[in-house]
Amino acid sequence: MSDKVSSAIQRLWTSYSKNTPQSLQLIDAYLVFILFSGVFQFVHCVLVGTFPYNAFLAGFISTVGSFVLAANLRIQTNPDNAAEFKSISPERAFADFVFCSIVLHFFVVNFIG
Amino acid sequence: TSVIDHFNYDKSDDGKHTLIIAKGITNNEAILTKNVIEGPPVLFRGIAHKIGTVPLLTKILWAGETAYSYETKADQQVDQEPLVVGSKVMLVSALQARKNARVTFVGSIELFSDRFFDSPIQRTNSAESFTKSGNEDFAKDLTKWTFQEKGVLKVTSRNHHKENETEELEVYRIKDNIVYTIEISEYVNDHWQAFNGTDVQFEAIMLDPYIRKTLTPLPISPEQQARKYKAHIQLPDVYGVFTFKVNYKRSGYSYIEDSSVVAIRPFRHNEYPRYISAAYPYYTGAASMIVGFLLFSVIWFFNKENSKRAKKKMS
Repeated sequence: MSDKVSSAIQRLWTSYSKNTPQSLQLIDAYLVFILFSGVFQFVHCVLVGTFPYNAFLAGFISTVGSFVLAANLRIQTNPDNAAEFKSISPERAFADFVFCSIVLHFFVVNFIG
Repeated sequence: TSVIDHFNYDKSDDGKHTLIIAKGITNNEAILTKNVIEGPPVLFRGIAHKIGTVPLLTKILWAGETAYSYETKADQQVDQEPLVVGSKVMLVSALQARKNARVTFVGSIELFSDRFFDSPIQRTNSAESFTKSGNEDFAKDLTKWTFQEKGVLKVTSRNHHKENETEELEVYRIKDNIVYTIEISEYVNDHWQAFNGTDVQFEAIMLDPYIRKTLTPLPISPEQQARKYKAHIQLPDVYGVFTFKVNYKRSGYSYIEDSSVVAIRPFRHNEYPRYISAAYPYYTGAASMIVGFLLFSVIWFFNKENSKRAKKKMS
């Protein structure tokens, strides 16, 4: 049973590294980093309590918002989806991502106290 | 009625056993000096009284266990309950009222007479004898105390300020560190001198005392007229209108009640701690998000494929 799962994971990994373009792999690495950061902050809140609640919310929403924006960038710049996003070029998608991230981080720094 | 004691009367008694040698004497040194307390006993001929439990009262002289108060008749048969018996028979007692008015009750005029002052004491059926009674010194001390010449205290000054400052403020902040000093002097032998008490306490009260601390007496040079008492106090974590009070009530000494009213305010917005130690993971998380975003966008921007695409578009 377990070696079936491990062989499936193995095949998934080789297919992923062969077939996905490098830019998308970059975004995926960024998404994994954001995920770890968000999980760490949430676990810390569960253990220690919600005392500076605004600080927890600011930090956590920073990760969630960044994750959402990076996922959007990945969707919009994926060459396989180019047909659905005719009006949004990858450069436009990246510009949107940068602008929204700047706004997000501004609010986060303001709310974190 | 008189105080009668068949076991403690002096030899020169006239047969009724009313000239008694007082057995119980207070050891309060604010009222009587040590010489009087430990010296020859006091002769007494007069009436008894008894005192209640009011804390303003102090008993000064009382009879022995074998005394009682009864009419002196020829047959002296005790067939009714005496008013007071034994060591509850009070001969001299004092009251100091709340505003320091002093009243002394003495059941005998002869205690102050020259005859008693000079009389020797010889207890009947006993070897106990003294060449001179203690009446004269006792009367001196007693009258000194009653007429406010002994055991009188006063507060000469009081001061409070924040640590490392000198200004006495009307408004302090919660958890401030302050220094409270008070100076108390005592009237001894017709002049004011430094008081020697060790248990003066400071209280910070808002309906209930939040802080109670014993002040430490500072050492003084002999010619100083008042002793300074000092305490370092951290104000409580509660804000409101507080009274700083020194409430010193000791039997024999005049009562001291010195209070000053002070407001304690909460933190201002910029007096809270800037960074909360429990929130450091969140601070680092948000900062890492920003750094990650910048790194990612730099790497994306200079990525080969994207610049290739851009070059293709430009050409």
